[in-house]
Amino acid sequence: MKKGALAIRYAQALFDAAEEQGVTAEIYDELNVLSSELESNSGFRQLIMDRSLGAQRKKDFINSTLGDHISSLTRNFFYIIFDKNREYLIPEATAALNDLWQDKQGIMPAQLITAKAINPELETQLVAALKKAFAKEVVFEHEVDPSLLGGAIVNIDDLTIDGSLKGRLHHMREALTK
Amino acid sequence: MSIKPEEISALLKQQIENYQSNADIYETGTVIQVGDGIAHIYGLTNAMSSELLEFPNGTLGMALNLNEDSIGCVILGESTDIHEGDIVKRTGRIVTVPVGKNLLGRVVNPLGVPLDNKGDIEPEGYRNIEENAPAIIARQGVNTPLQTGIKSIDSMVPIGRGQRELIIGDRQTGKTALAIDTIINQKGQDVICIYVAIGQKASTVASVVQKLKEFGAMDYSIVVAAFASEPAPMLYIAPYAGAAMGEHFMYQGKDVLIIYDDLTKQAAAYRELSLLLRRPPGREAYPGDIFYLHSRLLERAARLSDEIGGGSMTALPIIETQAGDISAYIPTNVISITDGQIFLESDLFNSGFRPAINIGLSVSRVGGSAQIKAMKQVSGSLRIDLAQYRELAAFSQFGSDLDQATKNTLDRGAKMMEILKQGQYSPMPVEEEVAVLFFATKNYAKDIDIHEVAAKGNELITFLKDFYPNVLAKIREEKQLSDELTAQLDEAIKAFLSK
Repeated sequence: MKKGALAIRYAQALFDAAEEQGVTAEIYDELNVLSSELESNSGFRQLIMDRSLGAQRKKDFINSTLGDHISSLTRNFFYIIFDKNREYLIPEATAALNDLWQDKQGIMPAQLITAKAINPELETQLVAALKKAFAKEVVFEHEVDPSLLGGAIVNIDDLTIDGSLKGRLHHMREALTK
Repeated sequence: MSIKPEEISALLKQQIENYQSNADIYETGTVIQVGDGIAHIYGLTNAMSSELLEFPNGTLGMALNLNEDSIGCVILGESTDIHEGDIVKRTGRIVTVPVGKNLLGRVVNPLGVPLDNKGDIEPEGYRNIEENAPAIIARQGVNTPLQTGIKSIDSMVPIGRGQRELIIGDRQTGKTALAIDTIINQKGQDVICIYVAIGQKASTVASVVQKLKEFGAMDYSIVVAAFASEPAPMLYIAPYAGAAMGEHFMYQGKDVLIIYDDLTKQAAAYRELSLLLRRPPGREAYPGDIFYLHSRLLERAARLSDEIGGGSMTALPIIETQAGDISAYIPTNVISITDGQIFLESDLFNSGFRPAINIGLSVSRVGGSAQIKAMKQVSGSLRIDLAQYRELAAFSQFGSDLDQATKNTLDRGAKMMEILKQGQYSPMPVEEEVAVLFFATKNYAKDIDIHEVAAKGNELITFLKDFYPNVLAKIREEKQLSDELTAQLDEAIKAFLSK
């Protein structure tokens, strides 16, 4: 997901505050729950995103429905977002916070694309190899794309490691047409 | 193309054998917006400024705006196959062009791809299109003439090798013709010519190439063409590509002449892509760095010091004005960057004075030191004489009774103007220019009818070639008019007049 500079700043601020109070795990959970709720529950989304509603009414709503279920930091984060009319930033900021959290845990999200379902043993080997290279625990989001024919593609951040048969064949075609 | 099956098998075998050993690793980004030849890309955090990026269909792009969370990139080629969400790869290369002597005689686009159906070009190497200009230590003053073969320029607005002389004028005043004549005149002078056509019709460029071929000038020339139909980024990089090709020869110690035809269109192309990249517009909607656009290009023209080979690159940029307005934004910028300008006027052109050079407004700030002595001797007073003539001519329109002295000055001036007329595609060697100007300035034409002066000038050259070839040869070799040579020339002209 694309994360704008603004969202990253909000997420960093929230993360730093949470770190100081030692409640990062809770904040991470709460924000993700609320964010996924925002995505799936259209009524909730309409209410939060409605710019005509005014910050105070949204704050009251958060207070009355969630009350003590969320920590004060999360509540304050929402308050500020409402005050600044930047409700649209919530999904991006959540994603940015997740990055920070994973970074702290030494986890690196990556995308693994293979031609067919990968056997778990091979995946373990791959994870071990990548851990050696990046000094981080790689967590795969798995995708199957039969058009690769064989091999695998790993996407980590901006980096693509292409070990697929499709890529090889593409190179071969280039080499032959030159 | 024929491929042998065993070749494919061998290649396949090799690929299969190496299959495990190497995976491609590259950095990627995603297209988030595309349109008008511009793409905004998310990702590619390590991309360099003006790095080449590769789109999935093989089209290349150039990274220009490096923002905090996205990259603004111009697409060098077709943008119709590029979609939102496409994966863009870094290539790790800055935009380069092929260089070397195999480019001579060829027509290429700004990326060095041949456009003339004469097959691939085997380059000697590649050069970055953006390169720093030589520093002061690496330079020396202009001291060798670059003969344009045009009488009025070589005598009054002389151009030296390594100089930057602007050719400026309205449309249809003969700007390109002047440049082409100059290229034609470099035959046998050991000067490599590069003609950069920016935003012109393909038919115009085709006819220029045709003319150059006709006069045997393509053998030492390269034509870099970015046609009007091409996207703005190609027009923008064309002059830099040409300059890179020229620098290659310059650093080998050779002399290069480069013509940018024209920079007005390049400025417009740069304005277009700057606005699309959302850079703030300034005067006439040009971006803030429009001056730098031209200054960094023209600074690359230089006369290198002897320690690093003594090569040179002479630049003749062309600027088109609107209704003779040389105080518009781009013309003033380029005038201030260059070492002088040749100003062409449509009034002069229409009144039949061709090349239509306005001598009053044309100057060469450094070329004087590169003129050969013989030319200095004959043209020393030419400029002032003509200025006096113009002043008197304007004044004399009011009254009819003029004294004899004034009449003489007017007559002499009018005949001098006639002598300076010159047809297209007929550049002259410097010794012939000297002889004709000698004929005019010594007032030998005073008894000739004004309508016959121009023709007489040409006849004189033929006469000298036929009967006094040693005089012309002496001017060429000695490069100055000694007393003895002056006497011989006098004698030859008298013989010609009494014929």
